[in-house]
Parts: sequence; structure tokens; C-alpha cells
Amino acid sequence: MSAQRVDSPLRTRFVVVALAGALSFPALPVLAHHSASQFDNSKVVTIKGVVKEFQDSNPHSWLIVEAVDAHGAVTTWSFEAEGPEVLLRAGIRRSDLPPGTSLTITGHPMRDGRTAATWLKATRADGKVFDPEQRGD
Amino acid sequence: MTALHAKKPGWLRASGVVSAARASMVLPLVVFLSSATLAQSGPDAASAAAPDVMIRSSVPGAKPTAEPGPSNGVPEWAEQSYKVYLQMKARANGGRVYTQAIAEQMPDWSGIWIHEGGRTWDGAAISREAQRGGSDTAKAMLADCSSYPCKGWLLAALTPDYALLLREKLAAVAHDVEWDPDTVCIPPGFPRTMIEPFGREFIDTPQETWTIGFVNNDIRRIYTDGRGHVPQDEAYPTFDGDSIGFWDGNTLVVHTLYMRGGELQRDLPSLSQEVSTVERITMTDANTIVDDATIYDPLALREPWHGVQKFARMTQRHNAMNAFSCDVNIYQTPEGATAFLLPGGSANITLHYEDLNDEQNYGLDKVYAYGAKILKEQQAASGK
Repeated sequence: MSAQRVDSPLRTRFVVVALAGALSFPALPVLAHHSASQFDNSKVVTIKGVVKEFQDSNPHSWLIVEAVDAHGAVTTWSFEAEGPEVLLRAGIRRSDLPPGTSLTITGHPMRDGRTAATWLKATRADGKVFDPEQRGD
Repeated sequence: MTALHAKKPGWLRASGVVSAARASMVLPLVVFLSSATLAQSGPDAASAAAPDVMIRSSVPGAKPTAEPGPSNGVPEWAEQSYKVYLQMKARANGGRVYTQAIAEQMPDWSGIWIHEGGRTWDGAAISREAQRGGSDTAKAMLADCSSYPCKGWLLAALTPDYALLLREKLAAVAHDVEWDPDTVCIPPGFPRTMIEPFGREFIDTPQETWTIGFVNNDIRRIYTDGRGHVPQDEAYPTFDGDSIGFWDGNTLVVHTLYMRGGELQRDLPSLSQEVSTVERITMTDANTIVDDATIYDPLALREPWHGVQKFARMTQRHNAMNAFSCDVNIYQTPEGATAFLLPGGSANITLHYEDLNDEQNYGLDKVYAYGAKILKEQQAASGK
């Protein structure tokens, strides 16, 4: 596993981790409603930012996060997950991530460079983890 | 003419087209059927549709409904599966008929169920990598499989035409061009619906059983009220086809035909409109429903394709069957890939008129064409 730092056009710094192949991930029903081919499963992006909006909806939900760099430049990232039933089964509620919540979130980024990714894990400032694929009650 | 249309004549618009593959589909029958039953199938059956049956409600004074008679024939391409179904019915002495008065004696299939084994027909009979799907799986299948069945990957005995179609699709998927009709509101249809990875209900009543899935108005109806198949000259391809069944003990036995075909899943082969199926649906234990199902398709398959679809009872909270819509923010690239808008984004999209009798394939045609182009370029580069 190797890591490199990448500068975005808006100078926001984030970490892209190139994994040793997609086999590092278990077979999960990620984005079962549409193809996930726009996302690069061999990479993981990590964003530290603040929740702007949580669009909790079928067939897919979007968690929109704003990342601010040291110079005050803002980049908006959109993280896609399955719909509310899957998120609720994973114990994720809208009230867990209201606008203004600080978090660190990981995801497989888009291949075309747009600032969006699949939502893998979001870790709130208090350490609580929100994993959409976790099958807890 | 698009790639899929060129290789997959529909019986509705091309009745009488006989596939060379069809001749190899005839298997010996183990159980002898009465000549009266067999006489109902075959090319002449359309002109000899059985009289209607009258379906009667238990409500006093309710008017009866006319439905197709129980001994209507089936087209030549569905004879093999129908004979198997009729054999099962003969062995079950016609099956048990439930009425409203004894409805409480029917199996209780209430609850919400989820398919196991990935978006595959072969389930546990193939590798975990094959169940995963996506570009890495497509690359591995292209490298490992020159024909089908291909052990560990796909157990369907595909005809050469449909093996080539699958190869074209896998070539596209390997290049991250992947499409799913689900994304544009097209119902999954049967048999695909039985391997969708979403919540499902099985609701059995004396007259009919429904399987209700999460996606795009996915309600399949299986009639057990004594009706027969729709007469051939009244049939047309529908997403879920025409399903009739009977109860053999606690097992619902079903025969289905007149489906639309199309892809079984976005990583699986396409089926033609000459697809038909025989299923045996049973609750094998309190938390498991099994659909032991065989697909027959003389255009797509050299042999019937047997699969065991297993459904586990969902016990977590938040399993309500909410409508699972398509996504208005998704569109298709010229190459055929899924593309979507991000929140706040926009795009200019050109729509083309699509044949509504073949709408399940319109997005796939682009994927097949793109894959065919890639294969051609690869062939040219390798000098073969």
C-alpha cells in the first residue's frame, strides 16, 4: 500500500491511497442500483471537513462535505451511499450528521476527477464511525 | 440495426423464425404425457385456444371473471419447459387447490427476504470473485473463459451468439463501461427480479402469489386459480411474463413464458424473448425460502440453466418495503456507461425514440456495440 499527497485545483490537500488492487475490499453490495464504474475502487480518498448537507433519499443518499484548506479555500465533496433503509440498518440517522458536523470521511473517488466518491467510512470528531455497509441493528 | 437486435429476433415481430440452436434443445422425456395434453402444444395450438375458465370470487353475488382456459398450448420454443412443468403437475395429481375458506392452511411466507449469492444465477456454485461483478471480474472472466459454461465463473451453456454477446459486454465492463436498466426506471422483470439484491416479499393467496421487490414497480404475479397460459395469438412480451402455478404440498410450482428477455444482470448474459422457466418455490426452514429454478431459452442456451436462488429472512429493523425509484440524475454516455450528475450539476442530454417493446435493451445495445469495438481493436492489434 502506498500513499501520496495530491493538490486539487483549489489547493485543498487530501490524501489518495492507492491500494494493492480492489481485492483488498470484501464483496459488498455497494451501489447495487447503478453501476459503480465511475468510481475508482483501487483508490481511497480521505477528506477532513464539515457536513454541508445530508440528502437522505432513495435510491441513493448523498453526504455533502465542505473541506477548507489552510488558505481558506473551500472544496465541496459529495459522498454517495445507498438509500435510507441501508443507512438506518447501519445505524446512520440524519440527526447523526447535521450541517456543521466535523468529520473525516473516506471513499473511492471518481475516475474523472470530479470531487465525489462512494461513502466508505465517516468518522465524527468525537470518534464515532458511520459505515454504510455495516449490518448492525 | 443494433447489435442485440441483429442477434435476437423477438417472437412477436419475427414469429416463425427458427433458430439452428433449437434443434439441440430437445431432451428425452422421462414421464409419458397423455396425448391429449401434448396435442395442446405446438404450432397449431394458436388456432385451437381452450375455452375460458370462469374465476369466481367467494363474495356472494360477485360476477365471475373470464380467464384463459387451463389447457392452452405454448409455442414450440417453450414446449420443453412446459412438458417438465406438466410432468410435475401429473406427479402431484394436479396439485392442491386452496380456497378462501382454507386460506389459513397455506404456507406462511410473510416477512421480508433478501437474495443471497450476489447478483448471480449460479450463487454458491461459482467463486466469490465471480459473485462480485464489476471491471476486475470482467477482466478475469475474459482471460479465463473462452466458452460457457465456464467453471467457477458462469455455469450457463451459452450458444455461440450469446457467448459472443457476453464477451462484448464483459469487454465493455472491463473498460468501466457498465450500464444497468434499473437506473432508468426499467423494471427488472423476471427472471432477473429473483436475483436482485434488495428486499422482497412473497405473498401467497389462494388465487395468486405475488413476489414484490424493491425496484421500479416490481410486482410479479403467479396465478394458481386454475387458469392456463394466455393463448399464443393474444400473448406479447411483458416484463414478468405469464406465470401459472400449482401447489405441490408446500411447494409452489410455476411455469412462465412470454417474457421480454434482456440482461439477467449487468454482469450476466442476456436472454432472448424465447425464454421460459420452471420453478419450485419452497420455504425450506423458518428463515429460508428457496426458488429452485431452471431457465430454458433455445436462442441463448444450449442446455437448460439450473440455479438455486436462496432468500434469507431479514430480521433487522428498517426493512420496510419502500418504493425504490430510479434516479433522475443518471444518464448514459455515448459509449453506454452509467453517468450521473453531482449535487448542483447539470448536463445537456439528447434523447432518441426507443422501441417500447424492446426498451429493456436500449441501453445495453450501446454497451454491446462498445464492447464489440474493443474486441475488434484488440483482434487487429494482435494480428489475428
